[in-house]
Amino acid sequence: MATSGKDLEEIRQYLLGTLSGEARQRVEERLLLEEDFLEELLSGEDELIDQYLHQTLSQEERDGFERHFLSTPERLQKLRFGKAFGRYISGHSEVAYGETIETRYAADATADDTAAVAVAARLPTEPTRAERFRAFWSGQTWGLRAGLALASVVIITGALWVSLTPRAPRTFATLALNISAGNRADSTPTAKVTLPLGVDALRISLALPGGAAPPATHYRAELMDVDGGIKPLQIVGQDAQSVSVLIPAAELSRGQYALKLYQTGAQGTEQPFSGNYLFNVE
Amino acid sequence: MNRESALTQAAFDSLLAWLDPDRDRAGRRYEFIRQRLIKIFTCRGRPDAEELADETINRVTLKAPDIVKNYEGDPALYFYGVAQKVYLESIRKRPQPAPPVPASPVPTPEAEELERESECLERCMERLSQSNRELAIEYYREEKRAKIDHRKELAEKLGIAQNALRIRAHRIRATLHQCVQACLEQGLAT
Repeated sequence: MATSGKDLEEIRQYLLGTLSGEARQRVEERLLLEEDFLEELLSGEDELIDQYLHQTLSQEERDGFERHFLSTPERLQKLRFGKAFGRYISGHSEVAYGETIETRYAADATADDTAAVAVAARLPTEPTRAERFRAFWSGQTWGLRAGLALASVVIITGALWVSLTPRAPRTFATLALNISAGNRADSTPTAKVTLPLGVDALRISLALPGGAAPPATHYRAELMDVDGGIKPLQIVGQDAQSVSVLIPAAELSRGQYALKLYQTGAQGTEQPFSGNYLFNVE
Repeated sequence: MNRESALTQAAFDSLLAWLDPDRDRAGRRYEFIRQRLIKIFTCRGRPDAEELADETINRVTLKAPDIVKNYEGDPALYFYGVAQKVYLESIRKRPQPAPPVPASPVPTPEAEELERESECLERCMERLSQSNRELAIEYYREEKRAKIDHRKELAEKLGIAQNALRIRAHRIRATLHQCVQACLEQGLAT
């Protein structure tokens, strides 16, 4: 079925969560009955995201977008991609289409000239460090060369091990959070952390919701940022009332975060807790 | 095989037979309906959309032997009716919070992340055919009124309807998004 301007507007309102009753049912039935309708809807999502990023939505639409449209991680990912794509387009449209073949050719020629000049500037008049090293090396006995090579390997391996081994955090800031069933519209104040933390990591104690018994055998936590980025978190402690996680200070930047906690019971099925643990970093 | 699983298998067979007499086509139809149900629940703001879609399908599967005898019409609409019920029940059971919304509407990822993202995007753009790359840049480059006019001109230039152009641009964008996701997950390993 062809998509008219009215259809597009209906899709748009549906995505913003402002359709209800029969109109919403009409869109959803089309989604289930028409093969091509999903792409119409998805292209509507692209449009909305771009309009949001270009700030061309009305205030009411903007509210609907933030409150309804961005309510799933999938959509937050799309928003993030939309931003990156927008940056790419604004950075490349001039180059790709504003440029004539002559200017492109001229730019290439200049680049080649520049490279040639750079090569010429590096032409040595005196022995380089590499040449000096080769001269020194060839003047040594075989035994000394083997010893020096072994020492170098040990030193380099040691340096790499020290630099690549993550240092366990030694100092912590602590935060205790209760699960929240709402979002930022909640009346419950959201916990705040102020940067710089001045410590190695933030240790967060997540109070298990009341009636969550029997206690799970295993917990898993994820940190979600405002871009929809999700990182697994290290569980550093648990008891009957709470689970503690650790977030390295370097991984925190300003913004709102949500922690999602999952439990695995004795039967081995993982279930998310209903709600999120919210906090702001300022 | 115990009685319960035998019943479930029988019900599932009935469901597939109801969707299409050909087993392969029935499988594709099943997957189509599942994907669309997930989308509907997502559009209703449910982060647990997959679970709700599966719950809907399970309920229909259990009733399939009876439905086949009595129901007339497109099976997808029957699924839709059950999905509405599942949705209402889920709201009553546990009001699902929307995830936090950025306090600032424009999130600020770290410079390193931005760099990695744009590097991936550059790579993915290079993998597109030249015509698709140019179409993507052309289609998305203007803003507001200029964008509308520009897209109209572009559709005329390409000799296709504006709707067709919109869908084509969306497909390229979706491909790019998938490519960038994969690239970020691989940590620029490729």
